[in-house]
Parts: sequence; structure tokens; C-alpha cells
Amino acid sequence: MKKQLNTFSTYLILAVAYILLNLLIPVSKATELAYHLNGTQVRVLTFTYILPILGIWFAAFYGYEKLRRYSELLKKTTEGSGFAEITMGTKWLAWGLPLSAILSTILTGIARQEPHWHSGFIIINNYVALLVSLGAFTYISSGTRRLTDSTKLHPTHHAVQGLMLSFITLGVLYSYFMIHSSEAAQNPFHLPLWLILLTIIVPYLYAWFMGLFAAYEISLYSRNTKGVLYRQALSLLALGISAAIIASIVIQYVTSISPRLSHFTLGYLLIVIYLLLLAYSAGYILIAIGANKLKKIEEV
Amino acid sequence: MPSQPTLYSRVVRITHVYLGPAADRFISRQVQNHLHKDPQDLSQQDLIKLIDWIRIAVSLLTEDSDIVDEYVIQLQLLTKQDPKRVHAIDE
Repeated sequence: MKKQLNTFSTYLILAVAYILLNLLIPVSKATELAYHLNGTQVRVLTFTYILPILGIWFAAFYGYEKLRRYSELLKKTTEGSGFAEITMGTKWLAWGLPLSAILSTILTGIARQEPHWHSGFIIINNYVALLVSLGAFTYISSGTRRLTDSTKLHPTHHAVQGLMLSFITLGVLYSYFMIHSSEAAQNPFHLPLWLILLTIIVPYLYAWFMGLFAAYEISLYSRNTKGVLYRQALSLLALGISAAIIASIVIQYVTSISPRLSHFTLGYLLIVIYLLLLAYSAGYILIAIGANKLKKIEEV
Repeated sequence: MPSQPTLYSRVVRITHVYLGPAADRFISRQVQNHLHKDPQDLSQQDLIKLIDWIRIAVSLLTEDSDIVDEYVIQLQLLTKQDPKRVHAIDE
């Protein structure tokens, strides 16, 4: 109960901090000029996207908290260590959302006053997002591996082929977009190409591969586990984890290559991002429902 | 000669079909909380009472009465076995 209070009070603190930061940080003059708006109108517009973002954060914290409470019950069981690591990964994903958004808001605010810091802050934001992704997918992947190992499940030949093909396509296109962006007159990453390759592209592809493979492994585990009622609950959890992982990867992908998508209108890009964030929240809601059902099995 | 499974392990084996890895923990909890016994001390005389508790517990987990009925029927088959023989096997 104490932990639950901690999770939700942390959410509240982060949500209030984010709202306050967006209220207090001076509005960008460039935005006012570009959209012919005054400061108040820009703030009202800002709140139209902050509210759904807070809803998405809440879904992520709620899903994580439910999974954590289920994992607590499994501490001394065979599948306990696997679920504990998956829970830690979902925690990284859930906490990564507000922490990176708050950091980005603070740094953007400072950069408006001190423009020479702008490039450095973009680099910091990019590496923080990468770190969250690496941490989350490393934990989730390690957890799903423990679960499949405990039941001696192995990926099928077709599944490995399908995963490799999807991953190679994803990776090659990502590298292409990133390399072309870095060669543009205004390099959006503010880093030389060799650093982009070694410290952004390679770690992201590594993290995404682990994420995709973890999504496959948790679904493999849920389909092959014995127990009609257990499997029903587990499949909701597995679907939720897979949705959260895939949506998270696609969001990171779209965000990274967004400079290459400048020919799309801002409205169109925002719709795509919001749809992805909705899929991400739906994933966390499914995690919460599945974890609740599994927890009930351990409690009745 | 391989030892015969205990009554408890036979109940768990049936439960495994419905609750998978949670089966052992589930039955252990029902025996300890409702029969106030050590799971390994489960006897043929406890079975009817245990099945009643299991029916109640599983009904809280699913609204599919067919699954609950099927599970209970599988457990009831254990009560039809000769108690003396079962007792001898358990010992």
C-alpha cells in the first residue's frame, strides 16, 4: 500500500512539476511569430497537449503499479525473478516519459535565455531518451528470457526469420534517415556522423532488437503456458507489454527521424504521435487488467 | 518401485490444467486457509470440503461456469476412489 502511495504521489509530483514548468517558462518568441499568437494563446495551446500527456503518464504509472503488486506476490516462485525484471523494465518505460519530458522542458527554457547552450541540451535530451530505452528493454528482455528458459521454450525458425527481416528493414531505414539528417545543413543531432553511428544508431538498434525479441518471447510464453484461466490473464498482460514496447519503439523511431519528415504538416505529425501514445497507454491499461487478474489468482 | 502420488499432488495436477504455474500455490492456500492443515496432510475426508472451497474461489476468477463445472467434476472423480486404498497410497 505504501509503495502504491509512493507511485501515485510520485506521479502527482511529476505532473504538477510539468504543469508549473510549462506555466513559468517564458513562451518562445519564435512560436508566437510563426503562428501569429500572443503569449496567453500559446499557453492555452500548450495545455491542450499537456492534458492528454498527463493522461498517458497516468496510464503508464497505473499499469506499472499493478504489475509491481503482482510481481511482489511471486517473489519466492520460479517465475518470480522473470516478472520482477519485466516490472523493472516497465518502470523505466513509465518513469522515462515524465522524467525526459521535464528535463527537456527545463533545458528548452534555459536555452531560450542562453542560446549558446541549445546544441548541448539537444545532445543531452537525445542521450537521456536513449538511456531510458536501453534500460527498459534490457530489463524486459532479461525477464522474458528467464520466463521462456524456465519453461524450456525456444523461438520457432519462422519466427526468427520474421523477426530478423523486420529488424533489418527497420534498422537499415533508420540508419538511412539518421545519416541523411546528419549530412543536412542543420544537423539536428549536433554531433559528428561517427558519434551518431556509434553512440545513437548502434545503441538504439540494440535496444529495439531486445525490445522486439522480448515482445515475441512474452507472447510465446503466454501462448504455451499451461492453465486455461492463467493463460487468459497472462495473454492480456503479454499483449499489453508487447503493445507498450512496440509503441515505444515506433515513437522513438518517429521522433528520431522527425527532421526528415518536415514535408509533413505539424498537425499530421502530431496526430501520428498522439495515436502512438494512445496505443502506448492502451498497452499499459492491458498490463494493468492482466496483472490484476493474475494477482487475483494468487490471492483467492 | 516408483512412489504413488499423494492426494495433494493429484489435486494440484488437475488444477494445473486450469491455473498453470499458480496451481500449487492456489491449492496450498485453500488447504491452509480453509481446512487449516498442512497441504501434505490432505486426506480423502477433506476432499468434499476442499472442492466446495475451490468452486467458490474459481467462481471469483471466471464467469465461465462451464470451466468451473468441468474443473469440479475432475476433482470429484478423486472422491470416488477407494478411501482405504488412497489412504494406503498416501502413507
